[in-house]
Amino acid sequence: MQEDKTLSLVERLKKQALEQKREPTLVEPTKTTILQCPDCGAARAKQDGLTHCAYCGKRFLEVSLTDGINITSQDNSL
Amino acid sequence: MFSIFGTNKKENSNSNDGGAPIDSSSVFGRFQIFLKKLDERAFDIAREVEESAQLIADADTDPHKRSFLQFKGAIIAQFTQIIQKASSTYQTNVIPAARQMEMIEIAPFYADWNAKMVEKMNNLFHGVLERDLEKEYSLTMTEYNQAVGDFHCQQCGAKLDIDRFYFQSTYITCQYCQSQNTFDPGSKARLIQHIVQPLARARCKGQYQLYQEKKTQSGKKKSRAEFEVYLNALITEMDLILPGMADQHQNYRTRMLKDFENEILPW
Repeated sequence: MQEDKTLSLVERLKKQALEQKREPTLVEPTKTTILQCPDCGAARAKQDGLTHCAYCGKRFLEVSLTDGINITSQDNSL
Repeated sequence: MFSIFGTNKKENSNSNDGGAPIDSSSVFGRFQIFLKKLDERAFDIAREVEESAQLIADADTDPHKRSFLQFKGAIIAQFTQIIQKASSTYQTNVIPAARQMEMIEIAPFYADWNAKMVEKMNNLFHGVLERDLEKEYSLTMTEYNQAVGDFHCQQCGAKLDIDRFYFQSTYITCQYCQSQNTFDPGSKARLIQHIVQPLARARCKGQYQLYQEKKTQSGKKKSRAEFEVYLNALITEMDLILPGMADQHQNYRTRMLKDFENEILPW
């Protein structure tokens, strides 16, 4: 407190702002993952769509895909 | 000079109440002295802020500049306090005490003071570059471009070809085994979509200034061509920064043009 008295108001506010403890921001790295079928271990292939396993037919996604920025309705499995 | 908001607060109100020695015995005189003291206080804060605001903004490494925003908020609060103090004194002490003829002088004087103080508060952080968007963008893009070169298909191990900027998760197809790899660009790249507009505006500053000049010279209606040049440049920049969003950017362009033609909107 003694030290604080010699500081001007703006200096005190500045010190307070810089010393304030903050919740750390979560930085996620760039990465790739792959979804493998739990039954047969195959990955999903482009031609067969994203909602079912192309090899054993296991269903991955309950929803049917609609047109978005990167995924389109054509990515639904037949 | 020091701790002006602690003990001096009392002195200020004393001087207004007539406790401290004052030059003038009239209400207007006392009010002037009071406002002058508030002015000095504001000036002291503004001077120090000018010196340190940019330093704090630069020193703050937080992606959302939380420390700087806390500091800015605190300073704005000090100014609001000054303005409110003047307002409450004017309402409670000056208006009831002043004669009608005195009010003719006092009212415009106070209005003028108030407007100046609000302007001072609004302009306080104008010169401060809060975030250097161009620098943030180039850093993120360098990191992104370095990172995407190292990804391999997790099914067959072949190199994945990520040839453009994805600002959100997407599927990347391995060109050898056709497996769909889920690509997550990371949180930094995701933040780019939030700076696309201010960054594109900053890049099109020249066109915007040309439009503004034309607008002041010949009015808004006659400066449509300049506005369109600016808008087209803006959309091109936005498309470059955020590929894959061309349709959305075109919608934005249509909306901006509609706003331009709307006579009711003040801007």
